[in-house]
This record gives sequence, structure tokens and C-alpha cells, in this order.
Amino acid sequence: MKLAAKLFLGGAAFYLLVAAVYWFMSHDEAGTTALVLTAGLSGMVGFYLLVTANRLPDQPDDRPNGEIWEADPDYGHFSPHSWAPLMVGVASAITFAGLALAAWIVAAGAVLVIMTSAYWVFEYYHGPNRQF
Amino acid sequence: MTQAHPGAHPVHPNKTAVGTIIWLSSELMFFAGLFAMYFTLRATNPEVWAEETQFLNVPFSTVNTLILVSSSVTCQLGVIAAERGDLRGMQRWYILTFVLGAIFIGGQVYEYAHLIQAEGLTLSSSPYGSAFYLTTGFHGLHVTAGLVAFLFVIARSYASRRYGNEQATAAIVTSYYWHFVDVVWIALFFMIYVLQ
Repeated sequence: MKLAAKLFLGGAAFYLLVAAVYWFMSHDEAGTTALVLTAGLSGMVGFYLLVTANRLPDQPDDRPNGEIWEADPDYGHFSPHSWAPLMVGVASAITFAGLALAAWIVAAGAVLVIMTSAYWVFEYYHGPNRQF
Repeated sequence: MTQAHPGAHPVHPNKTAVGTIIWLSSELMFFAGLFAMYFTLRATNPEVWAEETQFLNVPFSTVNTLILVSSSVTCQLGVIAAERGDLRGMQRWYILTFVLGAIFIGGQVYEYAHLIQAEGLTLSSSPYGSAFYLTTGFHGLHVTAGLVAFLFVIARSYASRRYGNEQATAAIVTSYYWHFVDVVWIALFFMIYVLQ
């Protein structure tokens, strides 16, 4: 995990360097913005991994004698089968189709997205399949 | 060897939290496109910018920004409560965060209504209108989605029979999202209202 953090932070340093070179060669605000934020993309992942690595004991990939199975913890609860993603997907499709068709379809679609998302979020919090 | 949330005494990184951060880094690139668009239109239409940035009510937006920033503080206090396993504390702070976020969105709607009615600035009226509404509008949609996420987290914490890792993880990753959207707003505020 520490190596992963270093890789991402190194990426951030590289993109910052490229952004500086790009700015002095082009004075283009749009491209420089995109490059600086690419450094942000890499940097925020690297920063999070570094902070997390420092809060945890050494991970298997930090130890020379680490085994692959050690990096395979209990992943928690996963849904074996669910219609909820398809329902949210259809509701999202209706919402975005509304952008091309009519404003009221967007409003109706947004309500459907919230309703289907609620079904997804609470699927294992009620009924016969209740887990939590 | 149980998977613990960042607040307990975990042995392994929380996969949901790592996944959320990686997703947020892609969200950063989504906003990078919007920032780049704003700077491109600004560089090619300096006269439109000189005239239409005067429509902005900077003191009003500053107050609104302070409300959003303070909601990040209350959100983090909720996370601290969640990490302690203090369910009631988490619920109270998250409800307050929700209210502050809703006030921010209300302020933004008020600002839009004023700009459209009094100044005639719309999405299609000028390059400045397009840049202003697309950047602040997409951010506003993100805040609104965050408000819905807060409702889900709060409602789920009431619905669950026991307060476990699932609820704490949901509360913590929602706070990551909220802080991210808050930081993006600070950058947007600097670009639109300070730099203009």
C-alpha cells in the first residue's frame, strides 16, 4: 500500500511538472487547468493511500514475506441478485431522454431515480431478505 | 479478520472508502472540463466578461459559501460521532449538515432567479451565461445529490437494527463526497467571484 501511495504521488509530481512546462510554452489557461487537475486526480488518490497506510498496520504488500491470501479480507455484504440496478438504470435513461424531449420528463425521471435509488439503498433493510 | 471501517481498529483498508476516493478523482476530471471551458470562453470573450461579471452579487455568494463550508465542519463532527459509535450524535450532525446544504441550494436558486429576471442572464444569452450556469449548475446538482445521499444515510441509520460497519462506512464515504464537493465549490467561487 505504501508503494501504491508513492506511485500515485509520483504521478502527481510528474503532472505538476508537465503543467508548469506546458504553461511556460503555451500560456494556455484551459490546458494548464486540465493538467493541474490531473495532478489533483493522482495526488488525492496518493494522499488518501498514504494517510490510510499510516493508520493501518503493515499490509501484506508492504512485507517481503507477505502472502496473497493475506490481502483477501472479508469483503462484507454483497447482494447475490437484485433488480435495483436495472430499475435505477431505466429511471436514469428516462431522465436523460427527457433532456432531448421535454422538461416534464426530466422532472418525472428525477423522481423515479430517487424512488428506485431508495429501493436499492433499503433493499436489505426490510422484508424477508433483511440483513441489517 | 473482519473488514473494519476507517474509524474502528481496522486491519485492512476499507474497500468502499478506497473505491469512493478513486471515483471522486474521476469526478475531479469532470470538473476539470468545466474549469477549462470557463477559462477558454473567458480568454476568447474578454469584453463579454468585463460587462456581465458585474451582475454578480459577491457579498451574497460569500455568505452562501460560508454556509457550505460550515456544513463540511458539521459533517466532519458527524463522522467523528459515527467513528465513536455514537449513533444519535451522527444523526443530529448529519441533519444539521443537510439543513445547511439545503440553505446553500436555496441561496443558489435565489441567485439564479435574480440573474434571470433582473439581468436577463440565461444559459443561452451569452458565453458568460453558458459558463456561469454550467459550472455552478453542475456543482449545484452535485450538492443536491449529496443532500439525497444524506437523507439515505440518516434514514438507513434509523432503519437498521444495529449500528454496524455498513452504516458507518456509508456515513464516512458520504462525508468524503461532501468534502470533495465543498472543495470544488471553493475553487469555483475563487474562479467565478474572485478572479471573475
